[in-house]
Amino acid sequence: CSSMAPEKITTTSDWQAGHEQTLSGFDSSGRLAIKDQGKGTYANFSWQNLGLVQTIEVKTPLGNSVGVLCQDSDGVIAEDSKGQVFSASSIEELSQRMLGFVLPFDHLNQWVQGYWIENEPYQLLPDGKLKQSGWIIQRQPQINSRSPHIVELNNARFDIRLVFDEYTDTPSQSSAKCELRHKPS
Amino acid sequence: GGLETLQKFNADTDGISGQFSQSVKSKKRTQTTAGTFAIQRPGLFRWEYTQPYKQIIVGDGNTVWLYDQDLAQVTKRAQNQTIGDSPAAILSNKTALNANYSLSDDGSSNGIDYVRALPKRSNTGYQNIRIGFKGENLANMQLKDSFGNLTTITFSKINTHPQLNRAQFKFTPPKGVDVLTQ
Repeated sequence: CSSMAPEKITTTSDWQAGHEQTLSGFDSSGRLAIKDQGKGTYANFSWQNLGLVQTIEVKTPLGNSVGVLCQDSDGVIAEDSKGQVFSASSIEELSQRMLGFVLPFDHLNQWVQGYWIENEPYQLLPDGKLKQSGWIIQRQPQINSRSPHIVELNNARFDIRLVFDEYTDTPSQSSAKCELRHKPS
Repeated sequence: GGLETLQKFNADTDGISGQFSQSVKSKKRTQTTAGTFAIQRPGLFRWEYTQPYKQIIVGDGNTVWLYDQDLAQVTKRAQNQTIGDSPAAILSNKTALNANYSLSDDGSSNGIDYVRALPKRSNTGYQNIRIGFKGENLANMQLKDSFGNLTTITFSKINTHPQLNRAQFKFTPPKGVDVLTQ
C-alpha cells in the first residue's frame, strides 16, 4: 500500500545521474520507519551528509539521542547513549549491533536527492520509481523544490520510509573525518 | 520548594490533561513541535503531536502504541513496568518516579520551582531531568541527554481534574496502516 497521494509521485524525468560534481551535501532531520520481516522500527533522525562524511543521529520522539553513527573514508564509528564507542565496516552492521535494527544506508544519500548511482545498472519504472541495487525507490519532493519530502524504499526484506521535516543543501567537503575519531577515548 | 510541590502533585493528581510545546536544542539546530496530552494514573497516557506533523503515542496499560501519519505505520511495544523516560511515562506513574529517580530541590527561576531527578540506574536515556512547578501547577520539564541535546517541554492549559474516560486511552490502528511490533 502506498502512503503517497498518486498525483504527487515523481515523474520519470525527476531522476538524474549522480555525477561526482552534481552531488551536494545536505543537513536534514525527520522521521523514519523501517519494516523488517514483520518487525517495525520508528525513530526520529538528524542526518548530515558532507559527501565523504555522513553522520546520522537516531533519536526518540522526545529528541534525546539513542546513538550517533558516522561513516567516513576510514569506515564507520558510533557512540551510544552510555558513551560507549563502537566501530564496524558498515552502518548496517553497526545499527543492528547498537540500536537493534538494521539501517540500510548504502546509496541512500544519493537516492534521497533524486540521483541514481552512476556506473551501476538502473531502471526507471513507468510509475516514476527507480530500480537499482535490488531496491525500488519512490521519491516525493517538497512542493516546488527538488529537496526530498517523503522517500520510500523496498526490497525483498525491507520497507523503509523517510519523512524529511527539515532539509538544506550544504557544500560537500572532501577532507573531513568523523568528529568521533577525535574524541579522547 | 519544588520537591514538596511534586510530592503533593503526586499524591493528589490522578488525571491531568493539557497542551505542550516541545523544543529540542542540539548543537546545530533547535526543533519545535507541539501537541496535546492526557494522563490517567496509573499508567494511561496519550501524547499527541499536532504541529508540524501528526503523531500519536498512547499507553493503554499494556502496550505503548506509536502512530505516525506521514509514515503510515504503527509500532507497538510492551508497556512494561520499568518506567520509560518520557514525560508521559514519568507523570503517569506515581510511585515509579520516586523508585527510579533520586529527587532533590533545584532552586527556582522566574517564578518556577524546580525538582532535579537523577536516574538511579544509568540505562535511562537521560543524564538528568528537571520538573518545574509554577505554584501548584506543572509548568515544564527539561530533559538532558548525554549527547548534549536539551529537550524543554512547556505545559499550558493544564487541567488537573479532567473528565477522562478509559476509551481515550484505547488505540485502534487506522485501516490500511502497517501495525508492527517494535
